[in-house]
Amino acid sequence: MRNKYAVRLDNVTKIYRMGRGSVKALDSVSLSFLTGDFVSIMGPSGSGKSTLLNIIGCLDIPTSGEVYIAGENVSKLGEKERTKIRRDKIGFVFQHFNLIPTLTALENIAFPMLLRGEHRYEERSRELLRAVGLDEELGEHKPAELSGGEQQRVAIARALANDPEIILADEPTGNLDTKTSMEIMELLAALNRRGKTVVVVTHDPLVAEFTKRTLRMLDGRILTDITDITDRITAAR
Amino acid sequence: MAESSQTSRTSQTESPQHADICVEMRAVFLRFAIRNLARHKLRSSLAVVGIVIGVLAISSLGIFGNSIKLSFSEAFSAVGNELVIYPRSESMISEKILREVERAAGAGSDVIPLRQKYVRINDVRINGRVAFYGLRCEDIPLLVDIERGRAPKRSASECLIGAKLASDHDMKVGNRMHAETYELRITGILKERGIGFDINPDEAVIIDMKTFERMFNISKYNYLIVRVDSIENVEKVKESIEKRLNKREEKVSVLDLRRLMETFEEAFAKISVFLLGIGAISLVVAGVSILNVMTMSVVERTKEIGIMRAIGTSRIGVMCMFLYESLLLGLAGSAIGGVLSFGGGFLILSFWMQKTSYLLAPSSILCIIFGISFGIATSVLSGLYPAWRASMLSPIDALKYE
Ligand SMILES: Nc1ncnc2c1ncn2[C@@H]1O[C@H](COP(=O)(O)OP(=O)(O)OP(=O)(O)O)[C@@H](O)[C@H]1O
Ligand SMILES: [Mg+2]
Repeated sequence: MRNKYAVRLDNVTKIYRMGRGSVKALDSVSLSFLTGDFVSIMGPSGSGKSTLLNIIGCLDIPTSGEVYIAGENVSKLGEKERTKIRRDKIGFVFQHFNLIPTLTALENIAFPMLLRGEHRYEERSRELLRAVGLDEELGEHKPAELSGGEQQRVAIARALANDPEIILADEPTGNLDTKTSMEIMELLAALNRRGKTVVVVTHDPLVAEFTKRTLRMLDGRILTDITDITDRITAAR
Repeated sequence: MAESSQTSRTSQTESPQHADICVEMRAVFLRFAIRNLARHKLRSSLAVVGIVIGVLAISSLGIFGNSIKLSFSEAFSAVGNELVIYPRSESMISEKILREVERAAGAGSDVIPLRQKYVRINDVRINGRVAFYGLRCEDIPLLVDIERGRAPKRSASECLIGAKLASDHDMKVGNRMHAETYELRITGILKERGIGFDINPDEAVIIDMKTFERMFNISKYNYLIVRVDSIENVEKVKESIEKRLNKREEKVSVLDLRRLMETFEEAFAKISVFLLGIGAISLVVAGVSILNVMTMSVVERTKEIGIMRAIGTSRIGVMCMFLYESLLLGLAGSAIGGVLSFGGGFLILSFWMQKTSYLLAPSSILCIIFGISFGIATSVLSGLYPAWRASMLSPIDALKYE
């Protein structure tokens, strides 16, 4: 049985200490994302979007507050457990694609499966390559031999490798032209339609248009939280 | 609370209960390591060369030290039960002291008196100083083996010559040799014997005691060799001789060759350690170069480490990947170094020992195995710190690194 909430944050604060001063990147944030939700997070630079995503993705630890991923409290977990959650429950998509340069596209996709001990990794990575709309032959290419859009597709396929419940994308279209951006967003929307909880950080209103719900952040707080029915219609178009 | 306990149960059944890194992952890390090393061919080769030199140095110097020891114990294996007696109060040993030593040594021991003199020879074949030993006819077979010919007869103008003297100066049985005003006939050539504390016959001439007396007009003895029937009795005989002869005044000094050998063996052990130390230093240098290569590699790949950690690679996994790299460098370097060590050992032995058969002695092979294992261990140890540092990088900071 799936949990009602894919993500739940309870009074989460993140403070970065640097020298004598400190930055409050997140200021008592409480929120919850329904399982199967499609959320975009917007806001000016430095408002805490990446920090929020990193905390949800178990890459970072909150200074205070609780974080639940699929009902499990992850804010008190050790490094080893958090690594396992990143491997099994979260799929990351980054602005700079962040593929491993020495591995081919297929090997990049297979990597998280190998980490997990999945034996059918070869077959499955081919499936995923096809699922993100890439030709079979591109699978043998190294990331440097792929276009930005293709790289981001590979990155999405990699994020899907262990069939995670949540996809977190930090400015996934930040390095792509408008047309490719729309293609990538179509892909993420399709994943969402198949039941994945997708969270996208973006500066681009067109990108946010694809999502069901948009959070606006400022100075580490959530300013507005709008669930728009028409967005859903646009995305489903 | 209710929702958290519920999902923690489901999550356990979902995720496979594997160890930290599975077999496939190890294979991937290994392939990864090979590719990363191949990315920097020059740098990797230099690190390998460092290990090769280190292993080569350790193994070859180890073989050298070991061969010195081997040749030494080979030369002295026969003399463990010998005492050498030198005069103390006078410059030579008289007939009276010889009798006393014989009595003190007892029936079980052979007492062999010797006379020795360096003689200038001016001959067609030899021109230079040669050691002459005077031995009683009956004692000759006790001390030396004859390769060809026979021993000289009592009082005859005949001699035996050492193997090296014979081969160096192309002398054969039946040849004649002029020493001072005498002419000696060579009746036999000795078997090679090696360096000794009692006598060094390889480059010497051995003549009968009476002949010696006649030629050089010497009637006393330079020293005595006491050959004891068994090693266990050496100490007893030594004490008996010292008690009898040195009671009132120190007439003789008794040299226990076994003791001396022990002292020498200790010295050789120290030489070996010293040589190994030199080898070890070069290996340490190689280790530092691996440390350097791996540290560079970690810094360069910080971003990559961040990505790997972000998508769920454990700390141990990251560490493993870098350790594989240093292990590969070490394996390659040590294997090459091990093979080259045979060549290096051969060169050293043929230059300094003139005897290369020691190269295949088990203890020499052991030196090579030692060098190889040391090379691998050094590489892995040097890789340990960079690998640990890589594993401790914070994923977020590593991801931000450009
Ligand atoms: N590792 C860090 N150390 C110190 N301060 C940090 C660190 N990471 C983030 N910050 C600070 O926290 C605040 C929020 O940063 P964050 O990266 O979350 O912003 P953002 O909304 O993602 O911005 P952008 O749109 O530019 O990516 C900023 O003021 C930033 O300077
Ligand atoms: Mg950001």
